[in-house]
Amino acid sequence: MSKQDFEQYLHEQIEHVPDSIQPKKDLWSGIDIALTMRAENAEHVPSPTSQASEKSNVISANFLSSPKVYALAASFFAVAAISWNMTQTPQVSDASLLVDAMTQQHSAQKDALLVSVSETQPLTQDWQQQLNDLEAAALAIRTALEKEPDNVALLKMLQQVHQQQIDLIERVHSPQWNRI
Amino acid sequence: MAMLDAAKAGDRQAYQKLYHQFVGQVYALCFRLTGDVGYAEEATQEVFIQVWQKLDNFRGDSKFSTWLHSVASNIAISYLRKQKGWLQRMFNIEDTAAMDAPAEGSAGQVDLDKYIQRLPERARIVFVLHAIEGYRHEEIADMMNTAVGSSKAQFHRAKQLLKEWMGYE
Repeated sequence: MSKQDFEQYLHEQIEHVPDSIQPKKDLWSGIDIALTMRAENAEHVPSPTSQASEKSNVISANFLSSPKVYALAASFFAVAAISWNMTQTPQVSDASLLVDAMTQQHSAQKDALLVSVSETQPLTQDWQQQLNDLEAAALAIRTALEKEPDNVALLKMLQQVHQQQIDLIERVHSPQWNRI
Repeated sequence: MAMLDAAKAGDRQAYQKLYHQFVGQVYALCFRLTGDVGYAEEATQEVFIQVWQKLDNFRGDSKFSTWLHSVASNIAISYLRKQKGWLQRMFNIEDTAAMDAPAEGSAGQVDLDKYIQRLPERARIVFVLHAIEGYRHEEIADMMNTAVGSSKAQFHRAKQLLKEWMGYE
């Protein structure tokens, strides 16, 4: 068949490509949570970078040289493992167990960090309220995950909120020069 | 458009209605650009998260759907670049998409989306943007931060693969 036949045929196929494809999942719940989280971050988190952008996960030079990078890498691998596991064996109970494991790991990490900074004067007085707000966001995501345990975007958000809690604790307890 | 004005004023429910009105178009674009359901879902979410923050940039000079499409294309490409970049760094994966023809379909009746999904990443993005979305190669080169000639070459590559898979060679 000639090149012209193919061009014509391809053109016809392109004309019939649908303009709209509905996603199989409801993506709004994840968007809604993300927008709420960003709004809360913009209001509360006392970060020098917050005025420049809302990228609350900006990785500082200090962060790159700290043990946190290993924890974050571990978390990424955990999420990747969760994603992979769920594509292979989409069982609700397995996914729930993994969410529980993520939560427990985070709680242990957060508690250890809180102990380590307990004798340091915080830079702001309302940081515990901010921490509570983030914990409420994490709870909302976990609740959403109960309904959609295989939603990878929600899992990533949970991991992100966990990281934001760690970042917050470190930031409000770090020396001023360290925040520049 | 009252719904759009309300969303621009910060009305989340109005924005949710906008989401439901346009999610099919945005998802279709993201799915074709990424070639993967999981990436497409995440890119679609990223689009609507970022668009909420960019709504003030829409001045009404064009149709909202046109503006949304343009913003979505850029966000989806940027998203894909970040995802692939991370994966490539971690696992040293090259841009070698599975280049076998789709198992289903024939030259008589094909699902073009299945063929597009199998194209190598750069060829797929250029093909979708040029052949389906109607962007010029100059615009695509800007979006992908590459040369115009490279965009044309990838488009040629995509067509050659499709031609072969569709039984025209």
